[in-house]
Formats: sequence, C-alpha cells, structure tokens
Amino acid sequence: MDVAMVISLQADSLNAKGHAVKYTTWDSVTVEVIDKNELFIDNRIGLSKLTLPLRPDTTISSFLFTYHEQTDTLFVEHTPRQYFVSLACGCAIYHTITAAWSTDYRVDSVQIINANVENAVQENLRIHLHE
Amino acid sequence: MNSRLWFILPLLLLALRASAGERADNHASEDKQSKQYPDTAIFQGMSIKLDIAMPILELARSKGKVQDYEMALNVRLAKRFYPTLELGYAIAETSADGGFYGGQGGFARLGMDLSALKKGASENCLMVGLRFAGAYQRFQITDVPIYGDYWPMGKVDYFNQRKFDCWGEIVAGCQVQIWKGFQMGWYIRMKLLFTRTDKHGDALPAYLPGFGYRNDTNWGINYFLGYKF
Repeated sequence: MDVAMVISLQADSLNAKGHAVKYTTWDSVTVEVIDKNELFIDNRIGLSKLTLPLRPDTTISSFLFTYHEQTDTLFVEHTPRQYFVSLACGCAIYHTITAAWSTDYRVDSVQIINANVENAVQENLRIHLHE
Repeated sequence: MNSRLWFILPLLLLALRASAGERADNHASEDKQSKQYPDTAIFQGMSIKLDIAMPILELARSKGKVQDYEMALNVRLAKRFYPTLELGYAIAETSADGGFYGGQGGFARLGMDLSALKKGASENCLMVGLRFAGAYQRFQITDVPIYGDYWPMGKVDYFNQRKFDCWGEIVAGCQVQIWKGFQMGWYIRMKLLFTRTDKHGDALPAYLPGFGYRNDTNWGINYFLGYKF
C-alpha cells in the first residue's frame, strides 16, 4: 500500500499580454528529502502533483524545494499512526497533518487541503507561489 | 465418495420417510419413538444437536490449527417453525505474509428455520432459515510488517486484542429421525460479514469463530447428530 502526501501548485502570473494566468503545473522542480539528504524529484517538468513520503518515525518532515532555481524549505508537522490492513497485507502508516509552513523565497503560503494522508490520491497540501 | 454418501444419506432417509409418511401417521410408528404433541399444540418439542463436520473438516484442512466446536438447540413451534440458538467455541492459528495470528473465542447464532415441506410434515424435513450471529474473541497478531516504499520500516505486534464481530446467514438443510429420538442432518450456510473494517485501523483477527477466515462472505457446512426430547 502506497501512502504518500500529495502536493498541488497554485501560482498566479502575467502572460505576455499582461493578463493574469493561473498555473497549476510543476515545471522545473527539484525536491530533496532533507532527513535523507537525497534527491526525490530531480528537475522534472509538467507534473500536475508532487507525491512525497512523510517520515513514519518522527512528527516533522522537511523538504527542500527548488522551483525555477529558487529554493524554499517546506516543513510538515504530522502525527503518524499505524493502520492494520490485513494479515496478508500487513500494516501501513497513515498520517494526520497538523501544520505546514515554508520559507518564503518563492512560496507565498502553504494551505492544508486534506489533513489525512491515507493514500497517494487525495490532495493534501496546496502551495501558493508569488507572482 | 464417502463424503457424498454422508451428504446424501439424510436426503435418502428423508425421501423414504416422506413416501411412507401417511402409513407412518396411521400406525403412529414414529409416535412411539419420541414424545408426541397434539397437532394443534404450538409447542411441538425441542432438540439438541451436536456438529461433527467442522471438527473433522478443520482437522483435515488446517491439520488441527483450527478447532471449531458447536451445538444447536431448537424448538419446534406450530409444526413448521424452528427457532434456533447455536453456540460454539473456536481456537485458531494461522499465518500469512503479514504475520502470525492466534486467537480463541465463543460465538452465538440466533435465528429461525422454516420447514420447506408441506404443512403437517413429520420430524423429517427440509429447512430454510436465517441467522444473526456474533463472535467475541481474544487474539494476538505478531511480526506484522509495516509496508512503505521509501522509509525503512520494521514490524509491529498486537498483543491482548479483543474483537466482536457479527454477521448474517442464510441456511438450508435437512433433518431426519433415525432411531427413537435421535436425528441427523446437515446445514449449508452462506455467511455475510457485517463488521468488515475497523475505522481506527486496529488489528483485525484473521479467523472468526463460527464464521471462518475473514472474508466478506463465507460458506459453511454442518453435519449434526441430535436428540429430540
């Protein structure tokens, strides 16, 4: 069972004609899992969502976001809990997100959409970027 | 072949009894074998039955890791209705990729059978019925792996767990009088589990006394010997 936090993007920008345009696709994004010092997503483009693993053994998970060469640090506070699936499938770790925040070089705000991280389908966080 | 014979034997006896039914009524040959009640009486006697199928089946199927014992008490009312209480106890051990389960507990089923033969049939009858059942057990599950693709995961144990499960059953079967008050017969059961998940994510037992291995639905069979008194 794949349990992961799903992050979507919301960014407002002006196009060449000066009209406001909303972007919801991650372009040129790199994500590093700080506690593991490892690149999880390496300069990917055209992603509609990011699917990131929360740590099962602590209550804070942190990630380095690099978006169009500007880097922010995302912190997610969460409560892990065991969820017994079945004798054949074993146990999964679900999480409840209690808070989420970020540095603000490119990120404007972080919004919790669904606090329960129980699969890799539901949107959990939405990151709003500066123009 | 032997199992088919045991399955068919009560049906054969039932057919023989049915064909000789009127003569039996006239001569009251059956009447002398067990206490008889007036046709107009609501209470028509009661019987106790002991299941011999599940202990043997589970001994063969699980090599003794599952033991399931049960008995039934039913009352005959107005000749066609059989309110039934079934009680049992089960001990089970099993394992899978997700760990090891061990548990034991009791169960009870309460329901009603209806004789499917014509009104006024004798003690020998085909029956259909419904049951509502519940089981309470104590169990433990050990060495359960925690699955995750990215972070290293360990194993977890669930000790001293208790769980109540309930389900419904549709049953069909037959019973025949074999000698004096002694009866034999069988039931086939289709079981539908009501308590399928745990919203808190607590451990779920892999085996439910009286229901069998945890599935949404199960089939069951009982072959019983009984005595009417």
